[in-house]
Amino acid sequence: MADAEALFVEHRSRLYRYLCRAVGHAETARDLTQDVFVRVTRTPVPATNDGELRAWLFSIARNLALDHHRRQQRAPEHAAPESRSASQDVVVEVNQALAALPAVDRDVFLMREVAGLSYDEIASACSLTPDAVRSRIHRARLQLRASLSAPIAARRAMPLRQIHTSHE
Amino acid sequence: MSHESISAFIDNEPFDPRALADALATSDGRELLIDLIALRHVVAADPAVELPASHRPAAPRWRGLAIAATIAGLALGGGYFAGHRVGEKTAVESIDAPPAPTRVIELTPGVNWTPTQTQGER
Repeated sequence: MADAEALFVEHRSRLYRYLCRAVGHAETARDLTQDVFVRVTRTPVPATNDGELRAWLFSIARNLALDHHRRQQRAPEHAAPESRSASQDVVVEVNQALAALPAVDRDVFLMREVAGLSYDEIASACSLTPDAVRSRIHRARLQLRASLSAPIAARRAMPLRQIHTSHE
Repeated sequence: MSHESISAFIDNEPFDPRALADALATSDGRELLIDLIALRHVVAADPAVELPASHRPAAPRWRGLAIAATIAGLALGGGYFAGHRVGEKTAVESIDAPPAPTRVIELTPGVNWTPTQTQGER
């Protein structure tokens, strides 16, 4: 059986990045990352391989994010408008585009793009087949490509390099 | 053409080489490849994404409330205990020593200080 805290420490940055994008709020993401830790310490860690452990952790994070969204729908917070920098504008635009995706498509996209999970791990975390994950990720990308055309065009004006969101 | 092979390629997942070659044979496919890499940069660029180094797996929020409740309980208990001790000490002192005077009446020898009844007064 893996040590829960060691497992959490190893994956907490990925979990936080995923939750940051999934809920669109850094402070909430920090709280939810801690909640993942609490859940992990209360639950027997399944004795299995690393990939399935990652999938297990992200399924917990996904459920917490879904719970958060449900609570938000019942009692939406009204954030006061504030002045933002250009980079923060892009962050908000990305968050809005992500929020417009179907929930499952958003989750599989973020688990791949932000957390670097493999298609098999995402399939396990979201109870989907790897082929369904492949299709949903591509569909999410096409939708985001359309909704984020301006920041994508701006980014294309600069030199690009391939980013490897490794799942190794 | 769905171009899913392009997504699989940039994700380092297994892909059909023939499908990728076909996809990249079109300008649409090549544009899509570049857009998806740019999209990855756009999504990755988030100033709020990094977890502070000092951010340890902290105690859950309810634990903070429990600590606050414990401190309040200790403060109340301590206050009660301290007050009880002071009360006991005061009680002991009242047995050993007379209370401090609150008013001093000087008696002058030869002067009748008691109230006298004047005539006509009953």
